Amino acid sequence: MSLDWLSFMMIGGWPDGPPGGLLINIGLAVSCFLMGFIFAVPLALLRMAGGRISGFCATAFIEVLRSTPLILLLFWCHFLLPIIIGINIPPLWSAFIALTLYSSAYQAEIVRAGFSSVPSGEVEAAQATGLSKSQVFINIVIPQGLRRMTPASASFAVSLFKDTAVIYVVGVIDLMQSGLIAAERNPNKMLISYLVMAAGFAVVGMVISLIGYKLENRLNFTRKVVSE
Amino acid sequence: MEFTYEFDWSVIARHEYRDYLLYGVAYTFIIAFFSTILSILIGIVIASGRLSPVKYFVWPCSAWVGVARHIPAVFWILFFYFVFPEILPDSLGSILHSWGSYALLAGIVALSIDNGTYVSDILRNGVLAISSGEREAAKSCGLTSKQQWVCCLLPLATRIVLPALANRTIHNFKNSSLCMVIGVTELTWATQQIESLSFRGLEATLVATIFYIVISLIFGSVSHKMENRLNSCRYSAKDVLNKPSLSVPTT
Repeated sequence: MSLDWLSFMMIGGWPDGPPGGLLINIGLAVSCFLMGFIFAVPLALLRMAGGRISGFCATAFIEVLRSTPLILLLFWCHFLLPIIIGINIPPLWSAFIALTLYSSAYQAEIVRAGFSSVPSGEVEAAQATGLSKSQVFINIVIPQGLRRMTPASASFAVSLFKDTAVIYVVGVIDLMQSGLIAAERNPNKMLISYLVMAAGFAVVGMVISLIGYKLENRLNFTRKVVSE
Repeated sequence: MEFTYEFDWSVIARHEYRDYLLYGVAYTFIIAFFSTILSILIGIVIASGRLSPVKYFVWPCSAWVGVARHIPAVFWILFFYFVFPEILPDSLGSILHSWGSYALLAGIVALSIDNGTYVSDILRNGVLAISSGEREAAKSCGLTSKQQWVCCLLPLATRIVLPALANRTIHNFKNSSLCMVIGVTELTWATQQIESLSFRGLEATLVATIFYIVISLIFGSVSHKMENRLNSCRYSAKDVLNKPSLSVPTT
């Protein structure tokens, strides 16, 4: 029995052809998580400390993206953005844009919660020692805030990876789509290809959870050492 | 790069397209409502399994939560629609296949299973978050085990759980849009249908997006108000003591 369908579901045509399957899900989840974080920090800062107009814009951006279903966001980026700007976008890129927007809005809230959970006593103590506002922010708020937001970020990473399952609706050959294709081509393997789909998401998701858990423990450990 | 699109809002007002959108809204609410109710029931069952003293209930429930929380909602939807009738006995499977509303049922069940896992986690955390002091206080007042739960522990747990539960409900409402992949005629499906029939998807999708945003914001602010109210009464001990439902024996 050939296992072509299995490798098709895992890596697509890679390394000879275009990548696909689970590889796309992992790649998109990782890249959109990082890109989202890059956009999330300025968004969170604008929402926390921006002026009236910029703060309102950041809040509106975050709230609109957070309350739009991801599948609708995908349709916006894939079918409607090309109409508006007049350029065709390949499916993978529209999925990337949609997931980046989505993850930047969610992570902006996580970053904001992390930064505002730093006790005001810490900030006041730092100001009392004569540090400037930016010094306080860089040396006190950022390190503690990042540490506090690790659990939420880790669980968001897991949910972002799960959410990459939706991108198949715009025609990206990811794990879902390749599983559906495999099930369609050999109907007797339908059950097994669905099981492989579920197992692919579950195993990678658990690995991400585990990494998040380890990271959390480690960051808490350094905090303990510092406080002792 | 220039804006070349001309809006034509009269398309949405045409009755055939308007009906798609109105039916879509109705189906979205139906899916969201029933799957939320069902997922809370599933959540209660799994959470009580995990909290039960019998270890043969604990580990299957824990294992289920550990696995199922990593499986996407779209997978459940496709699984219940395409695979579930196949693994049933032939006669039952073909009945399901030929039944017109099976897609709707599959979507509701799939979303309930997806959401139920999270709900069970939230409920369990809520019960665990009640400090042992409160538990012991209830016990030392002489309340029976049932009274402890009904009068003290469950109301406290509800207060802890409600914000997270409201959040999940909004999420579930948004997830109802995933049911379009199996052709349930809900709002997102309606926008795509209008797009493919009239090439006027932009207007329809704009309307749908605004609908989702407005409903999410309304629900969010209602749950926020409720949360504030519950929290404000939490700290007035007088109110709690004057409650007639809490009949503590005074001897």
